[in-house]
Amino acid sequence: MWPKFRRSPSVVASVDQLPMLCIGHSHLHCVQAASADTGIAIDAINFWEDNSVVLDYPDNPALTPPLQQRLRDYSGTVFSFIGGSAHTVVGLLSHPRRFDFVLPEAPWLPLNAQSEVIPVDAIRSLLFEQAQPFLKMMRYVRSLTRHRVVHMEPPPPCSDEQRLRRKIPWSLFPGMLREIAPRPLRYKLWRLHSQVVADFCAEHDIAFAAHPRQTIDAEGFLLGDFFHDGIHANHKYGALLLQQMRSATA
Amino acid sequence: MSHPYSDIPGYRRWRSGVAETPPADLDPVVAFPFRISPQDRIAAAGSCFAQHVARHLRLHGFQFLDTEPAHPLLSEETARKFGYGFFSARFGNIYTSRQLLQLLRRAYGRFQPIDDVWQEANRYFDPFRPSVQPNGFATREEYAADRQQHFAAVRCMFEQADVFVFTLGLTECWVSLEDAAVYPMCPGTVAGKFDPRRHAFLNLTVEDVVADLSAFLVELRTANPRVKMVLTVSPVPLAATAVDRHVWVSTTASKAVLRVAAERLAGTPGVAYFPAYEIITSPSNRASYFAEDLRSIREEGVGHVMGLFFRHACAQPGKAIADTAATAQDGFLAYMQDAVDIICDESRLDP
Repeated sequence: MWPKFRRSPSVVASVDQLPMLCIGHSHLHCVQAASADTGIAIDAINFWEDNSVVLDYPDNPALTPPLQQRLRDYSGTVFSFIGGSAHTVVGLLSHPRRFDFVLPEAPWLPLNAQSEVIPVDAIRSLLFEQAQPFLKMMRYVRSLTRHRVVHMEPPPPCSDEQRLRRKIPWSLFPGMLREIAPRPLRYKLWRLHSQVVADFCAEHDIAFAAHPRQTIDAEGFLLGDFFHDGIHANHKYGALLLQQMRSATA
Repeated sequence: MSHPYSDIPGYRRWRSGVAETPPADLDPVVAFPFRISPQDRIAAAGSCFAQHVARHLRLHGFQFLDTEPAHPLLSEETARKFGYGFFSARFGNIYTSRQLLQLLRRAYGRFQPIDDVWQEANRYFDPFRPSVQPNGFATREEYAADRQQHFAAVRCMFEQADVFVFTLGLTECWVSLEDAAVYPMCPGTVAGKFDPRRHAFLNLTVEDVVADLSAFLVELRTANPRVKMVLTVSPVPLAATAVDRHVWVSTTASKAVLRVAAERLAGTPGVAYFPAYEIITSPSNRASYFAEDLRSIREEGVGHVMGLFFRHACAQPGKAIADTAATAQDGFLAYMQDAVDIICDESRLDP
């Protein structure tokens, strides 16, 4: 679901190099915040802030003609922050019929004894279906530029359930379990979602940039220092992404 | 002059029972030994024809017992692709009486086939349900966890069913020479590798099928004394025969064996035979219930069978309900999307 139209001030910074063009949804916000902090210029097209630029969502998402032209005219790497919430929608909270799955890259991760096991390939299909509008948008953006497109992986999950609980609008879940999904499940869903998106990127000539390694703890969860709201990361994380992006364009 | 045929009812004469009866009115059931109530939980298993039985029971509001349903997060398309909803558990087609008996024993830990898993290029296939998981399981761990869960669902099905409908499909099968484990498909066809030193052909006889089903009933009733059983014979012909003779000859031989075995068992308490095979293959419909491939059964034929099943075997005829998915998705994803949207909105307000 797209949010209602809102326009926020565009991020402007004055540096010599061409501002990095970033396009996407809410995960772009941390980079915008970091840009404002650091003065590293970016040109941000945040659909979450202005969804009027997106047409024909979700079947055949496209951009308005002026925005299409802006992308065609841009002569640098385009950074995608499109989507990135499918794993959260599927498994931030516990489903009333608890489920779990075996992650092929880490089959030793525990299975919740109270949960039914779903084949990972079926979960992969579920995530692919959930991400479908965003993947279409990525493919569309790819078609608008002859330059490199780099998709930035969404941030790792937060391990602190108490911290997460405070961010959940529980009133939206009448009659459902009111619990944060188990940590291993949230981690597995994030990894699998990233694989789904990375595979899509590989098929469509889009580079995939993994999360900054210094942002995770020994188990792969987002360090508390980068926490924002349980779904998104904060400006410090955004600053590290900016460094990644600058390296990618160097 | 009086003789044994002089006062028989019309259904016992070919002319009145078949030749002069409109095809759609053919009713060879006549009488059924018990009635299934709307409260009865009905389990279904067997060859591919049993899928139709399961679907119609569900569509007509009966308590179709599905102990291994797809998770509601999965779409209908994904659920079907992964073998959910076709039968009462995710066991795929059970073609033979031997396979059914061994499934029960495996579910209760009384039989553990030596041929435990087929590994192909880092994918893992269940030799005894190779088709339920497209391209096999991703890891050995997933395979083990899924099978443990599957066996729990199978036990639950056997123990909770009030009526167990089983469609006998084949007599031809392939067995492991190591321990006589029966495969649903010949190794090497869907998955696995055929090895003549390890795999052998077996064509079940009437005595085999009767012995299998008799043993199955005894063991089933140990777990569930009240369960009744309905036997049908699949009218779907063999796709291929392992015997060097015409496939049609093998088909009639197989179906005859199954039909005779069902006839013998139908006389035992709590076991009934339902003539789905006869309804579909009757000359009265001039093979019109078979699709273009002369194997698949058209929906009109399935409807004829199930209409008579509801009329004769059920206390109430059942009421057609909307053609809903076997596994309806719940509203969880919509709720979650709203929640994520709100968090995203707040994120923007709280940089």
